[in-house]
Amino acid sequence: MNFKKMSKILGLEEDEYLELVELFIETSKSDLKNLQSAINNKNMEMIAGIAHSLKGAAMNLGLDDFIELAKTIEKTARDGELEETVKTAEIFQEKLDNSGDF
Amino acid sequence: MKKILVVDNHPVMLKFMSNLLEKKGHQVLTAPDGLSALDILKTNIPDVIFADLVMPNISGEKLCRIVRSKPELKEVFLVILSAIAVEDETNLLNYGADACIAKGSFDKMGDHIVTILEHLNTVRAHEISKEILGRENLYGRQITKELLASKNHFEATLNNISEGILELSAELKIIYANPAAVSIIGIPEETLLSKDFTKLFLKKYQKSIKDLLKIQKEKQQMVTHDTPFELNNNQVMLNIIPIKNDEHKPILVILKNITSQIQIEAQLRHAQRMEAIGTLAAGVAHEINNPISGIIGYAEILRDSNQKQTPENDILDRIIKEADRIAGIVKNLLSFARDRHEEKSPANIKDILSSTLGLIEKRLIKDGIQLSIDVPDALPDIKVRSHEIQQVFLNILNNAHYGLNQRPLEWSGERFLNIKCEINEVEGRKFIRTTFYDSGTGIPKNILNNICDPFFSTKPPGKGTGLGLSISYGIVNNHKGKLLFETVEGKYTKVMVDLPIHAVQS
Repeated sequence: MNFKKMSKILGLEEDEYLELVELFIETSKSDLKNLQSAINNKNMEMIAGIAHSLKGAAMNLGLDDFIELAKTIEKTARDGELEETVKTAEIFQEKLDNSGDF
Repeated sequence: MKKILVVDNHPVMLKFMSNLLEKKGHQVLTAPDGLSALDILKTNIPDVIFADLVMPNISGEKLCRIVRSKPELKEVFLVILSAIAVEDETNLLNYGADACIAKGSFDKMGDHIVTILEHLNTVRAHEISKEILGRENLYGRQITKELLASKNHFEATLNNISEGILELSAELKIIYANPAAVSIIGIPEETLLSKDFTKLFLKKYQKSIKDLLKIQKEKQQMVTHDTPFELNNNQVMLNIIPIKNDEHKPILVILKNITSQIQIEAQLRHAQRMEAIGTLAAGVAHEINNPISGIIGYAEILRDSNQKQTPENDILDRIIKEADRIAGIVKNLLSFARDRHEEKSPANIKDILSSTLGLIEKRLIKDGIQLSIDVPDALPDIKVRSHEIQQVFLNILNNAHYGLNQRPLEWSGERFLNIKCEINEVEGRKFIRTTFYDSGTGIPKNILNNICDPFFSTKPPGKGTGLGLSISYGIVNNHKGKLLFETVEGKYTKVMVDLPIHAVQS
């Protein structure tokens, strides 16, 4: 991922953008923990809510991959497709864990 | 430089906004939810507030309404930041916001925010376009719409149930109240939100409520209690329910208003008690009646066998007189206790009332009591034993007279006694209600339940028998009517006599 380019698109300084992305990753990690417990409780409403918030933040930062994943989680949760939700959440988690590679 | 408050539950958004605004030289305060924002607003008056719509602990919508309801925050420029803003059909600016920015990528949002702040410097607030800025290029419209639809569905449910529903933050502050809760508590929603829940109650209840909340917290399960709490003159029962799986640990409180239920139960208990007392009184009266007849009879035999007027005869006369008095009391007691099965006949309430008033009117006027009588001519007949109803009215009038005379001579209030007859319908049955409304000293609340008991009297010894109202109660009951009281001690008494209308067979 090209931070220089992204920060330019968003009209931010590169280090400022980096800081926001780091904050996003940090917040998302705790959000994902809540997401996991919501999945365990099959609380679809809550899953969709958390995904909605994740999606919003990803949109703010123009993180296209995360936007798509969050969107899918939200939609599958609303449609009651728990299996898909779980699968997508795993991918999201994986991507987040590897975010050091940015 | 402006003082700006940003309220959003996502740290990324808060950080972005602080960076952006601080760079422009503004002072920035941040809050993660509506409740914390209200805390900040207690000590700070910002120039501008940017608020998210969907937040835990008091939503943006509520926050806007609260801000707009506070005079000191009237001049604050309120901007809503939300993706939902674009989806909701209702105009968000109705909440009292001055502008609305759709959430999206930071570059566009940043532009809109800067535009708004620049506008603020040059033109007056109301001249800024109330268009939603940045509604183009938004993702996921369909999904957001579904989110809103399900939210609306729940809202409609909450808005229409009769139980009051409150949501409290972990710190016991009210963050949501449905319309039923607002009406039970009797405080407008804007003031209610962010208030400490326990402080809604009188001091004497606060400890029990805190205890309940504590138990709920420890056990993490629903708790309730045995005796109702008083809230805004209502008797309420609480169900306190922890909301699990929520990191904010909110608490749900269900308020059940059982005031009218309690009243009905009290009426029922009272009626049952009166019936029990009636049975007892009838038994006692019957048992006394026979020996009294014996005493009077034997005393008369003794007296009659003595031809001359001796001191012994004098004593016998006294025995007979005293025994007659007992017999009189017993007779009265029996009229409280049982229906005499005497024929009832149609009568006009106006006639009964005026013949009763004839007995007492002069005394009332003599004592400076303003008497006003409002009885329409065309009232239908009631089927009664007139002399009994007359006795009821006389009792009530005597009590009113007594209550008015209890006022000291120097009392400056107006001494009045208003009598009014009207048709009243209760559960499909038509009654004539006669109301006696006096400005006497009223009846203390703690004895109101006892005033119809036989031999219960507040008058000094010798002044009353304590049977007046119990007889009246018995008579009205035997007429399938109702005797009702409304009184405030020290202010007034209203006695209402409901008697069923005589159904004319056509």
